[in-house]
Amino acid sequence: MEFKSCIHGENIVKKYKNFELNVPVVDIPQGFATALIGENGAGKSTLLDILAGIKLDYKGNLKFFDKFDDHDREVNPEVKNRIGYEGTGNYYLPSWTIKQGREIQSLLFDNFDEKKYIDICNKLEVPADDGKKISDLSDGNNMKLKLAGVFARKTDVLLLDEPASPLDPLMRDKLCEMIRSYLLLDEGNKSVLFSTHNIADMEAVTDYAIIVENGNVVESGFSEELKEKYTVVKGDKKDEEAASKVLYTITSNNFGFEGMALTKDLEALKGLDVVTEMPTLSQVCVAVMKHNSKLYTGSIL
Amino acid sequence: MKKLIKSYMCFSPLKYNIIFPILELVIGVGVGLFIGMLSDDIVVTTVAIVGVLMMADMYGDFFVFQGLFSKEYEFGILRNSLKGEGVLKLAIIGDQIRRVILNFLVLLVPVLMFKSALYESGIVSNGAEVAALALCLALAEVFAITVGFMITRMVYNFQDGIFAMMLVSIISGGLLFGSVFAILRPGTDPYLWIIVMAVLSFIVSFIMIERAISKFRLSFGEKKMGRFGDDSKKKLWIFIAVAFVLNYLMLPLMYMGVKNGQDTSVFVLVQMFYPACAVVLGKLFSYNEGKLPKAFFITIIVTTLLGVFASALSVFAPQTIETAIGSADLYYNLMTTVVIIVCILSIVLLCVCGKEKRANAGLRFKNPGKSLMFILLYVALFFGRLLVLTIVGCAQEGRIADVFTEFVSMFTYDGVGIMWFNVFLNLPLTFVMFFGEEYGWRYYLQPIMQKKFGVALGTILLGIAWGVWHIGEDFMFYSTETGVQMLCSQLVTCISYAIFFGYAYMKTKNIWVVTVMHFFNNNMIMVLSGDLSTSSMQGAVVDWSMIPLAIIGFVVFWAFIFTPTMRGKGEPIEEVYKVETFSAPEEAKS
Repeated sequence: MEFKSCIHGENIVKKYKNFELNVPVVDIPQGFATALIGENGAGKSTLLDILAGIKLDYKGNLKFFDKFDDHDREVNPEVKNRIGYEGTGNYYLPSWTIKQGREIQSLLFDNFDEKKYIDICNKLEVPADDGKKISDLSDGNNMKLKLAGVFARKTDVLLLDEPASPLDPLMRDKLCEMIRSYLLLDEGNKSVLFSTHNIADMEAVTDYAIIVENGNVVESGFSEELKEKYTVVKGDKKDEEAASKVLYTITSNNFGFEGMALTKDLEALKGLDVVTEMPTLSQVCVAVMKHNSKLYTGSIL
Repeated sequence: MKKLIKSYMCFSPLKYNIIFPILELVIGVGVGLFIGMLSDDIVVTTVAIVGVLMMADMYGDFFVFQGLFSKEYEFGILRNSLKGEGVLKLAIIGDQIRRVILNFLVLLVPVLMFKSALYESGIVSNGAEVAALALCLALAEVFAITVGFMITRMVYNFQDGIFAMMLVSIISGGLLFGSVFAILRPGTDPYLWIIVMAVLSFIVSFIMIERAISKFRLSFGEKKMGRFGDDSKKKLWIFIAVAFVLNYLMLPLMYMGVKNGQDTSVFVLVQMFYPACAVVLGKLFSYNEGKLPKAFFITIIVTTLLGVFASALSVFAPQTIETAIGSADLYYNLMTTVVIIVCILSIVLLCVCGKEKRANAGLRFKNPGKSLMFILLYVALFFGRLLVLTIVGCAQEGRIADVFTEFVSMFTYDGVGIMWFNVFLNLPLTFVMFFGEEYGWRYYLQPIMQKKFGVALGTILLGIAWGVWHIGEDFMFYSTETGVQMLCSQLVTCISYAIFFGYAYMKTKNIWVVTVMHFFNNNMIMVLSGDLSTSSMQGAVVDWSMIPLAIIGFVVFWAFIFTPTMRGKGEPIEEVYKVETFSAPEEAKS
């Protein structure tokens, strides 16, 4: 499927002591919600930080909105203001109160809409104007404040780092809805990129998925395409050995096996007594992650 | 202004701005009354009050600022906006301003309380001076606390609470009591002290802000922010502040020295270090310079600092010593010794630092063949100019036949051999002074001027700036009676040399070539006059009629403005001043 990319990156390299992010090419489609999926420590946050300009010590070429590069992002407010970033860790100063948090945002961001911020906070039932310290809030409420902050800005692309993790199931649903309505604001021009290691919760809102493993982009595509690319295969014990040569991933149990195959390889399974069905996005993600992971894939116990 | 207050308020809770002043006031007045009753000595009383106030203030700062500086927090939100670093800077500036205002108001109480005692002891004589005294005490406190916090932050992580506070107390307390004792003397001048303390506070605040920003950047795992940072404006401001403002700030002192009839040679010597020191500071404070020869740079800074102290001392505590060539100023002689040591040290440091560091600092000895050619050309032009001047001089006196004997006699007097020997011996032992000027003018300012105003105009403007920089010497050293004429002649010399040196630098890209030329120019004066001391350069009388003569002498140097390079038709400027890059060996492997 053809798409216009909102952020395009090439040859992004960032080295740490024990870890190296090395992404030959990555595209964030414009007008869609993109999920950045991967294990803990796979490089999701690093990639987001690099795209947002939080970490500047990297190599590679970035292109924003088809015409700006990463130098423009760091000097041209027109680019930086259009990117909304929400980060984990010490995003706020620990001693800040909720009120100071609001004030600092209106000071830092030209396009910060205070009314909208208060409105979102009220709807999410977090105080927007309180002398309470931000660091005293629960993780969930802290995340709600950050989300309110980033949604209250006038931006064209949102980069959200693990927005769903600290939220309760109801709030996750609410977040999906917020992302949907954000995309509808100016149809076709707004984009969202969020990272998550729990795709099941965000499946409803994911249009495009990028799977990161060991600092590499191992798979990316629209969720419909991915679902067609892979097929779930189930079968009996007797066919396990024959099937395992073809299957992409395989798990066996007492009665038989279940695995994922590339749809184009299904021909090879002809003659075996297997059942095929379309996978969900989370099944695809788990299979891809499993296939590329460094983790021990056999039974641990 | 509104932004400043807003930024400051974002980082400081309101209670800190209300409760602490009240607390300090109560403690200050209480301690003041108590000690005032016990002691008759006004100085001891004031020192005690100031000390107690400082303690209270310091603990307040500790609790607020520990968030900002103690740990390397990743303030993602600040990095997320282009204004982030600006807000951080403004918050610190705001806090320093708050400190001055608060300290002033709080100190006003004890100072007013002991007003009559202060009058009696002769420290102040009227109401305005009482207020000024409070202000300079307040500024001294800001200076002392900032230095204390800064040094402690470098040594300790602030989470180490009590030890960190002890260190802050020791450093700040020592500095503060030192300054208070210095200020509170009978016949002191509070207005002068305000300036001194304000300058000191300004400098340490600047360093603190730079450190905070660099810590902030470091917290994102970046050693250097090379890719996107643009520090050129900051570097320019540092250059102006050190090379020009510091230079002009020393002039009142020099004037006092001249008034007292003292030898002011040390000012002229030290002045030559300011441009290099300015460039070095700018480079050390910016983020996109790559590896630098830090040891050499710090040597330059330390030498400049020593020089400033020596200059000040030569006025306030003049000392003379007997030398082989008569009695001389002690500080001048000390500084010449320092220069010799620094020269030898610099040669060693520059040789061992490696070519990458030398290249980043623009210190490589490049194009040796061309360099030698240019030096020879310069020597030839120098003597040519001398010949022209002799011809014109003789022609004016109507004895044109004597030109040759006149010219030759300049170099054939008794003992000229020693003079020449001295010149060549001096080169390795004093080159750093001439490097001091050339590094500022040719290496740093010339590219900036040429990029801004075009090659030719930029070079001429640089010459004017360079000439005006000498204004103090023109009026107080080279010439005392005919300063204006001397300045004009200086401008002619500087513009001419700016053109020729500039051309030579653009062609050879070698700072040492122009350093040698500058050295040669200054030292030839000694050969020509037959006098080794600096007195040969002093107290000249310049007549207006000599200026056209000077211009005629320099005509050949002016001609270089018409070369293709100077008309901007040669290599593009960006290419001329490009820094060589060396690929790091580690990267090559991977």
